[in-house]
Amino acid sequence: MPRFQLTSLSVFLALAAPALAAEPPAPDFKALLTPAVMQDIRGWIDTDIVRVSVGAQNDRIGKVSQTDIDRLDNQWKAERESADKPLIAATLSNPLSVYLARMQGRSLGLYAEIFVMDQNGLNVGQSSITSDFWQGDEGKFQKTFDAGRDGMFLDEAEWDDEVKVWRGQLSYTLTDAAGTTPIGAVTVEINLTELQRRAEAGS
Amino acid sequence: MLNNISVTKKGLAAFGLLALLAIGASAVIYDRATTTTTIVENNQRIIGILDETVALDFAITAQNLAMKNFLLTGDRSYVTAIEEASTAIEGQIRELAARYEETAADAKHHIDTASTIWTTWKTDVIEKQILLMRDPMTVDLARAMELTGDGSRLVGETHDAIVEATSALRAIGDVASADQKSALDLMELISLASAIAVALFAALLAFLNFRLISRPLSVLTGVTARLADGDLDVDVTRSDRADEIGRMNAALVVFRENLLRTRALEIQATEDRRRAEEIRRQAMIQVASDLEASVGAVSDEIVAASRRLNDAAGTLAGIAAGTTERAMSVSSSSEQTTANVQTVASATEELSASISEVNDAVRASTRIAADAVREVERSGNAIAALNSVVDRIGDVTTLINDIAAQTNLLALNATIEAARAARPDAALPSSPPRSRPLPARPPRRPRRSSARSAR
Repeated sequence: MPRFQLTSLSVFLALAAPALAAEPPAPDFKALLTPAVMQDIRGWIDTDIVRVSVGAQNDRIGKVSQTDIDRLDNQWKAERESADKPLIAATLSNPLSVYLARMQGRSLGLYAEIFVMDQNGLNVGQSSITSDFWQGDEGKFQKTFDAGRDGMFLDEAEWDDEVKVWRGQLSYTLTDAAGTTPIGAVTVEINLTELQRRAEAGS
Repeated sequence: MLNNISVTKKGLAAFGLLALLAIGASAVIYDRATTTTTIVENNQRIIGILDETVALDFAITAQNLAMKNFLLTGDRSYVTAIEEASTAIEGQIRELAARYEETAADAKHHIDTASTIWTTWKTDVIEKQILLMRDPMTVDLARAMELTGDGSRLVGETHDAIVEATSALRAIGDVASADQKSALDLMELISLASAIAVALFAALLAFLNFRLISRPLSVLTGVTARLADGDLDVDVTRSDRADEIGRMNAALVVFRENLLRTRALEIQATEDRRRAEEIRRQAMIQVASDLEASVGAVSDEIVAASRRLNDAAGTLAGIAAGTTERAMSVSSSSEQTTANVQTVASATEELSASISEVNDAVRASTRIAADAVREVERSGNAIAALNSVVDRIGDVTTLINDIAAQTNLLALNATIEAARAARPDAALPSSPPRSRPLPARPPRRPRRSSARSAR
């Protein structure tokens, strides 16, 4: 946790200065992520649907080799460019993806993207099509699932010039219902601009 | 040995054995058929249970499909169908458990297992999913539960248990079918074997019947027919058989011997009759010749006697004439008269003797004639001739009688005249003592003679 805070802070400070030049200043991600927000997120993430889906995929796929993971990831990336998307379609149509999409929609723009990973870092469900199928090489997985049951990672806020908002990714380790065993990880990309607006409006 | 058992017993034994063979085969076939029927009935029950078991599997599969459809579409009309299916399946399971208990107890635990797993699926998966489908927040959880595969696994396990139950049922049915087949095979074998055995046994009996009864009977029939036709040359050997055939044979032997004896007796009787006829014919010839001879002799005698009688009568007439002449001169010579009377008396005596001879001759001829009449009817002519002879003798006798009466009268008168001449004072005797029986005797003789000849 101290490492997490330190890293977040340094990243925030490093990126804050240049961003402010052309865009609104980057919001304080960590500060915006109040317990109430965390509670809301956990309210619909730490649920049976997520655990059941992750558990099911862990059971189904199990611990796989890097070769298999690379094959699946490459297939995913190939499908992104192709009209034929069996793996992507299958993943996006599963109940968890449908659920996450609905959660995203229900948030009225607060959550930009949600995806859940299994113990291999492979996607279990996602609200939209991600660039990769495997997140195991990224901080959102390495700093969460690999870090243990309490692993949490706030990625640095990014300016989305297309929709003119700040985005910030929150990732943390998913555990079983008892909260003891890590089963996977979840990443929730938050519209920090919207979060900030709500925080200001609510205050 | 078989020859000493009566035909009736032989027949009874043969048909009894045949019947026993048939009854034995039928009993085994009946027993096997009963077993087969039981097996078939049991198999029918098993097939019925099998159908119901498969129907249960279908019902669960249909319920699972309805559940999937519900999860996919969210159409709550499926919920009604799923709940109704649950009620129906529970009933099916209860019914099946009872029927397995009754018919295939060994396979019942599979149904119990299926029931347990299905109940788990129903309560832990279906009912939970249906409940989750009531809340939009948990709809996806309900669907995500499918990802765990728990539901599919439970349904699959239920299906597996049901399949095991059907396999166990089929195994029971297969065993029963094998029993049924072996029973049917045995029945086939026994049917065939008994048919062959009955045919062989019947052939054996027919052969024995032919050897022991039919052929001997045929031989006996031929013998009887030939004996009936009078053919005694037929060979009837005595049999040592003790049955009816043997007795018939013995009877035929006796019959033939009797026939032989009768035939000999007949020949003897014919010979005797011929001989008796011959003897009788000879006797008749003899009698006829004898009669002819005796009648000839009698006739000759009668002729001779008649001649002598005529002579005597002539003599008497001469004497009488002389007597009459002398009577006139009797007084002159009583001694002469006495002498004459004595001459007459002696002549009378001679006549009497002649008559007596004639009488004897007549009697003899009468006897012979009577004998001849009794012996031979054909001697009638001779008898008739004899009768005429006798009649003539009768006439002669009457003539003799008349002559005798006249002679007697003459003699009496001569006697009286003589007495008077000798002793004129002495009383005359009533009748001369010597000539008194003379008139009485002759009239009787012809009557006896005629009486005899009449017989």
